[in-house]
Amino acid sequence: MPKNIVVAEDFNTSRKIIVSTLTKEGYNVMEAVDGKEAAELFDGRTIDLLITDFNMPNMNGAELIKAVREKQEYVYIPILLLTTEVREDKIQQAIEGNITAWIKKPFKSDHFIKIVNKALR
Amino acid sequence: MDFLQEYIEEVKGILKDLENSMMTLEKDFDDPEEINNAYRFLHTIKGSAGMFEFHDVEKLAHELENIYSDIRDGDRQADNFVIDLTLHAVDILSDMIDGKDAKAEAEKLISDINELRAVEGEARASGGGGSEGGAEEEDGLKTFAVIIKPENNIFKRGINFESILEELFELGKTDMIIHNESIPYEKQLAEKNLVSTFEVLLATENSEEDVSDVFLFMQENEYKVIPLRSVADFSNADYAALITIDEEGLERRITQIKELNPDFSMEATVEEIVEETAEEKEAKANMRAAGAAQFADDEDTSEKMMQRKSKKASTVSVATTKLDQMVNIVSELVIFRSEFQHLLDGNERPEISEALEKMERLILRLRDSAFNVRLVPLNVLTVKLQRLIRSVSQELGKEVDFITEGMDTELDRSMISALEAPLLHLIRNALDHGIESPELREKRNKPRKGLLKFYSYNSGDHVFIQIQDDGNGLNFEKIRKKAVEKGMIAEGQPASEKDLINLMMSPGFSTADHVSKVSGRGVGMDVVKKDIAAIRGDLEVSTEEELGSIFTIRLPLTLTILDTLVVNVNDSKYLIPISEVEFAYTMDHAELFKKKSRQVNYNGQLMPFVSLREYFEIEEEPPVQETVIIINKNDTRIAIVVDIIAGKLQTVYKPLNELLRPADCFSGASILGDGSMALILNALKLKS
Repeated sequence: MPKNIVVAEDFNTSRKIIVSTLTKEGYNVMEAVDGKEAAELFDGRTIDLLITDFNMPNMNGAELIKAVREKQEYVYIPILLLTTEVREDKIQQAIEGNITAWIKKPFKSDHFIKIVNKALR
Repeated sequence: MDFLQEYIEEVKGILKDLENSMMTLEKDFDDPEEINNAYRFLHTIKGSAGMFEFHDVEKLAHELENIYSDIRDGDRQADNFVIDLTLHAVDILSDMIDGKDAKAEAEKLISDINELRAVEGEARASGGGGSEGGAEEEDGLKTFAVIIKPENNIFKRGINFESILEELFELGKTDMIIHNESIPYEKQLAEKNLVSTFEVLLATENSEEDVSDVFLFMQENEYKVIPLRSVADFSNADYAALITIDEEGLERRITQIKELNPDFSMEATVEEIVEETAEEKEAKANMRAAGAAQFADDEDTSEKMMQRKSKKASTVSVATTKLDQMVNIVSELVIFRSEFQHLLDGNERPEISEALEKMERLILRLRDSAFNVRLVPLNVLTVKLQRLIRSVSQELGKEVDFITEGMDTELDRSMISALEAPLLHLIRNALDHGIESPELREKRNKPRKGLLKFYSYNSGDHVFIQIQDDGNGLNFEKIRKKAVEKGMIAEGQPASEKDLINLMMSPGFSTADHVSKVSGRGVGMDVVKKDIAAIRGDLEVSTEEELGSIFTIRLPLTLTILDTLVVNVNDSKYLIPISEVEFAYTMDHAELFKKKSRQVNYNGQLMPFVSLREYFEIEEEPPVQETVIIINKNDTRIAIVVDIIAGKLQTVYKPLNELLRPADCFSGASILGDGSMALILNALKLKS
């Protein structure tokens, strides 16, 4: 069974690149254009990994992560955060202790896949 | 495209940090923090370069990184050569990032690096002693101790701890010891609450980097990979800081490791390690403490890093044109305030005066903060100066200690860029002509190493920069000869030291006996002086033969706003910078012009004066009483005579345009409160 990944990213080009990279790798990908749309996908179905941007309209990355972690089924799923700023204080505070790893944008696709594969082990 | 620009900026920043690191490392080759920094900087550059297809950058950074990882592992020592190599690489890397083709240079450097490492490697391999066949060992079975102490929230971070251990086990043959298992491991897993410390002994063909890669998602303080080369490594400080091993524990580990890797080197037997003397025990305890301290240090630096990051986040970079615009507006405001004051003159109501005073205070504050924004500390130049000194002193075979002081002194950013060339020139001169060769210095009973001091400070509304060397000092005999040779003065004509220094700074004078690569670049002191004058600064020299020289640059704090004295001469108003006014008094015209010699008595000294009425050839009758103003600019005094002092005015300095430039008795112009223009006097030029 392919693993299910939710990708939340408002910037279209980035999201499309990520989705196509993951699809090629054989993963089952669900896309969301903002945090709110992504949060709605966490409705009890099996989700193995969340990859999310930080700055998004409607619901930002920190709020999304908080919402996901509050649901029993998703307390321990791996979450990868995409950021341009590594460890900016604001982000740091918001999600410290809640995510698995940071992926700094822009990223190289083989590095990205390596991290995703590792998170899904 | 934006990402690329961002990346380029970032890499440049890192290269600068790397340069800084080298400067610190040069002072202490063993500074572990700087070695680590250098490694980290190179690692970052390498890691990101590939993303943007800068493969040459990636390659060079990678090769260089290897050297630092050798140093970090204690396989080699940092030395001047490594620093040179790194600085050279910084230049090449920044060229490549700028899109310049430096491939050939990069390849040359890489081959240098490889040669260096190969030689080292051979030396190590043939050095005999402990580890046999260093090169072979690289590919063979290696042993590691991996100590893992996960934080409590590891599951909440979405990390699957079991899978991390599995991944580690997959690397080779392993054995695990679980410490502090008050709660059974299985139960800890089920309750998602890890309290234990995990110690894994691993024999693998993979590299240390591969092992560390397993812990990609874990924080640095959660694990430690310790290479085990011999039994002695069990008493390694890193190990000791995390786990205490007793005699029994050591034997157990040795048995385990022997099973994992039969070739494991037994440099010391168990008995030898266990039966340590009290002294050794103490040493070990110290080591342990040091290890713990190092851990604390690590935390400390990461905290510092965070602080630095957050500092970065709280600054905004602004285009300099915007800053200039802001300063212009503030300048206009200053003029407008004078105009306002002028309009009110004569019919002031107390409320208005009060309001005006308030406004004045606010404008002053606004002015100060507008200028503050433009200020940049001098230390942006430090690295440039240090690098220049390094390369020049090497080139000349001179040894020199470079000491800086007050590099946090701030100057207008436009001044800093204008200062760069003259400063570099002065330093080059000091190294070339000032500091003697080590041999000569010894003969003169001076330490072999010359001393070059660079310091800066604020005083009044000026900034001073001094460059001091303890070298030759100026040779006035030589300067005089040269001046005669160049026809600047006649043979036997008396010339004071001050005159000679002035001659030295005139166009067409160069003391270098031969054109050297270092200072003889066809640019003389006259250009330095001109550059400094262009930002309204002065250059002064004091010197003592065979003891050294001090070059002092005096700069105005701001380029544009000036406190002036307004003086009247007939119907015109002129401005004199207040900083140049030493004294003023009134005197009867008749008394003043009684003697033909045109001198005034000031503090018991006779001083020539210049009457502005005469100077400007004004024919009208002078007033009965005139005002004498004593001007003092860098200890050169002159007296000038004007009609009367009309007041004090804060004005905005405007440079003169080309047409007026030849009238060098004026340094600039300004607009008065009533909208009329006044010229700023450059009093010293009135002399002739």
